[in-house]
Amino acid sequence: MQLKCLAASAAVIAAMTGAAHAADANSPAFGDSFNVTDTSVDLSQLTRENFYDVLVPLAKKDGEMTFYSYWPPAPLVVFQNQIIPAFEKKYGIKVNFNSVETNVGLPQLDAAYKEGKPSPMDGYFSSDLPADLNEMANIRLTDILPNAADLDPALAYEYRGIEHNGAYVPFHGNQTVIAFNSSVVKDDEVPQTFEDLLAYSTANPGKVAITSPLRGGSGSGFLTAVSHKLMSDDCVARWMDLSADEAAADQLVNNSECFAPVWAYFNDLLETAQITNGNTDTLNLMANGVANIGTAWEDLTFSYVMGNQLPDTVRVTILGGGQPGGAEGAFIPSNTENLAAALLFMDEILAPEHQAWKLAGFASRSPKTELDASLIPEEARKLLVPADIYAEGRISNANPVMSRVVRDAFAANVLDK
Amino acid sequence: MRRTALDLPLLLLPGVGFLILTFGLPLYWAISGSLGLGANGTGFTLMHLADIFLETKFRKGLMMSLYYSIAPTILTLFVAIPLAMLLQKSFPGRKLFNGLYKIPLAIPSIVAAFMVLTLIEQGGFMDRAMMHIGLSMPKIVRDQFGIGVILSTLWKDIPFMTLIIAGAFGAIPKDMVPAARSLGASRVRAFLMVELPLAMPGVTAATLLCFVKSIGNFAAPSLLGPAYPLPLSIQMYDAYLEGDWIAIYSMGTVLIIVSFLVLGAYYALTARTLQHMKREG
Amino acid sequence: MPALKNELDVLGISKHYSGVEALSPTSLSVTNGEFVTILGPSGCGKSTLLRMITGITLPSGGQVLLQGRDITRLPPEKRDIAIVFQSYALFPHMSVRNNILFGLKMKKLGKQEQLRRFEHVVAICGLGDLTGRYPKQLSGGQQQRVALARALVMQPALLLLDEPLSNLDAKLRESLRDDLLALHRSTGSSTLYVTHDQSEAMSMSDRIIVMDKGRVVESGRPRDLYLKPQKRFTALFFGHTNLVPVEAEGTRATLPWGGFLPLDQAARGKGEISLRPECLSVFADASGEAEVRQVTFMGPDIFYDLQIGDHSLKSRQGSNGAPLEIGSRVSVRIEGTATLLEQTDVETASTGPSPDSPSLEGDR
Repeated sequence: MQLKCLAASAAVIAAMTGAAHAADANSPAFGDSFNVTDTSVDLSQLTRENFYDVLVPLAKKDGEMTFYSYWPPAPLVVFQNQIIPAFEKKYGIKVNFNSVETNVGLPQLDAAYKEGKPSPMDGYFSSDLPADLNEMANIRLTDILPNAADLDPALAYEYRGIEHNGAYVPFHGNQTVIAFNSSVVKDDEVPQTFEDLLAYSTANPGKVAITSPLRGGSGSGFLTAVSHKLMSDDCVARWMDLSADEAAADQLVNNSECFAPVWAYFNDLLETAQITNGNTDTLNLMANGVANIGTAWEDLTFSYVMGNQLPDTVRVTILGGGQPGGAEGAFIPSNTENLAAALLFMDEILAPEHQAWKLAGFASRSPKTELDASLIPEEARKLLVPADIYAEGRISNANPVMSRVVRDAFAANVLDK
Repeated sequence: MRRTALDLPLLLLPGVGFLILTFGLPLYWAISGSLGLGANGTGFTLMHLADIFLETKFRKGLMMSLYYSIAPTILTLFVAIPLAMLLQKSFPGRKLFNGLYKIPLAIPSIVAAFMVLTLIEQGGFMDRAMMHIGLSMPKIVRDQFGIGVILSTLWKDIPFMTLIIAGAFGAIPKDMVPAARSLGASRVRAFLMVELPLAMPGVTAATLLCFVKSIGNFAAPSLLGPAYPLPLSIQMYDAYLEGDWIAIYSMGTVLIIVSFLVLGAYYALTARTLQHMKREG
Repeated sequence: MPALKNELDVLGISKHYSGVEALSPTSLSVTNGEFVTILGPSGCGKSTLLRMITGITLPSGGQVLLQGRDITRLPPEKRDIAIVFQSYALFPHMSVRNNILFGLKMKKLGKQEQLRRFEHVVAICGLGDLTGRYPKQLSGGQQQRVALARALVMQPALLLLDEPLSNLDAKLRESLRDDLLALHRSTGSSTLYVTHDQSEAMSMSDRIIVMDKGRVVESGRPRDLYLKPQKRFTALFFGHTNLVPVEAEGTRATLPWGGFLPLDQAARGKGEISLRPECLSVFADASGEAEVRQVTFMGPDIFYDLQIGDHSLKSRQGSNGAPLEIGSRVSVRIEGTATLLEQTDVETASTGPSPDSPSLEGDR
């Protein structure tokens, strides 16, 4: 009895000391206290160092877990054929895998959460965060997972303008690019800047395909890129303010001159360029030979080339000023019953061998900064954005409210004309 | 076995109950949601509905939805009626044709849209074939008139309407037209004054079904239509992706209201024509 | 004086559908004011013939002349022929009034003339208070009268009635039959009537054309066809008859059970005659040649099934007096003369039209 009390108070002291290291791995990512219902893991004590020692025995006791993935452009074999077999072999824990679209899975999670039931999945690689952040376990995964040590900080703490502080760990990096058919577009014609692109389109009407920002991410990404480049620094700062609300967005977008050069650029461009109905629509136009240059996603283009839906002379690049890229990630629901196994799995998905495998196989960028380039074969490398351009080329997105206002304004100022 | 007052309602319950549950309730939620009532509502307001007419993208979307349903329906009428009449006669190969023309009925509209995309768009199958003779396909996909959308919708609507209208014409007693002709009416006058009025209920039904079916078209406009303006069906889906249920309810309710108005106008128009024909005799 | 033209001349009209002959080359005429009936079982080709006369179908060969004008290739709306259909074919979406006025409007007659004709035909067809109603509000008999009115109001060169009474019940049929006849007499319109009912044909026609299997069998006046048929088919078609094989010697025929019967025309050799039951009368006779096998009481008449030697006969006589009993012996008396039936039922081109059909010169 006395020993237990001592141990208890020792733990409390340790916890308090732990808490004293503010913004620390052991503090909740958001909110005042940890929101997980599975208490088998003492989150306040978990560190990168003791991660495996603490979790492996606990996870083996769970014995089984469920992982959901949404449908990214990269095929799900990344999980099915690579990560899960490796995980099961390493730890002997069974993983039930389901591919569930984000706008189906998140409502399921929400329903279970509201009813106080355990979540349907223990981990979810999704393209969006739950509306109620408390449905995510507020664990600083980025600071705890051993394999997350080298994550690019630009991707690790915020997603689409929402600061989750690491509860949503990036897994699959993506990059919007300009794709072009190198057999038709000569080296000296390849656009390096937005002005180059406009010039090419004017000289070759109908040969440039721009995805509609209302219908595809490669289009909204392109809109973001143009805005970033053409607006003044002041305007850009206001635009990228992650705390902007509807009123501020409206003020900036509709009642100031900030976006005027953006609309002007697009109105010029769309006199000769075609606007398409989605990411794949643009690529199909390129495949048909109708367009030579198009706005695209790096990984989608990669998988199209691999699947012979685009000629293998297609290359991608990023225009000067940068084009947005980000990373989708995975989170652990707060009402999971298999927290230890989930944490272990989250670590596994960031293992370098898996990240390299999916980069080589599907142009699925890794959020890890220390990925060994030698792990990627040459023939895959030529279909990716060249490393030097990539390093400089990535910019981030505005928050969802702002983005929506910008899109609506695009419709009104460009498409409606 | 004596009937009690409860018997009839009880017998109706499974059928009517099912309808109420699966159709009536969601309809009620949608309409009340659009008026600001309901679970997430902020109180009775007409602003949500008004927004559909006030905001440019919604208003233009509504116009597109109407365009994509009215235009193909009218064009189909022009093809379906002569085709239905043709099918009344016998000609070599009629049996084969009778089967063939119905094929589009079995093909889902999204497949039809893909067919248009693959075959007829610029850079598609036919375009590449025509390149050899120096011609090229006009732009019918992603064009401002939505020609590809209209074509794909027509392809599916024509057999549908023809089937119904052929049935309507077929139900006309065989002696009607010979009777009219023996009384001095030319083939055309016999058609206009006797056949068409008698087939009108069938023609009306076919037209209305076709219109209502098309107003919610998603696949064809999504694949083949211009990137802007987007019909309300696509905008409703986009709103769903963003979780904007109020917008969904409002767009849906407006579509319902507008559909009813169009149907009402059609009824008024045909009733007057029929009256006119009755008087003329 | 110019020769009077027939109202209708059908010359060698034929029709085949992909090799199958629906109608062999057929000729007939209707003279001015005549009531001619085309009579035959279903499938005999009368509908095909009708469709070619009205112009709904084009003939494969032959000609149709109306009042001497060749209308063979004219469309129905240009022929001056009005039709009353078996199904009435009233326009359901028009009132009785507008049904009747339809043809007049097509003809573009003046309003005065339309009204005049309309009122006249309403009067003679007895449609007084029905003009405002719609076809579905009328009974079968009323609909038929409207159909008739609609045709008559056109004052056509030829009135064509296609089994107009078939859809009505027996009582209505009889009364309408009388009405039709009365109308024909008062309007004097040339009429071509088509039916499968022989009693209708007999009671109404000036002349009957009997058809079977796509060809004309025989034609003539009702009485002649009934009492003196030339063809077996005609004999059998017009009600009960006894077909008796005989041996002809000059103007006398020997009956198979002995006894003789005078012949209308001299002949020699074996043949067949048609004896109508009412031409036979039987009397009780212990030494009679026949035996009664069956007695059928029909109200005004009695039918006796008789056995003479190897042959069966049917006789018919009035039912007043005591009926004979089955098994009683009777003697049979035959009245009148007989005509030898032709060996074949087909009237071929080489044998020519039967003696009773009017010649094409219209010399009535």
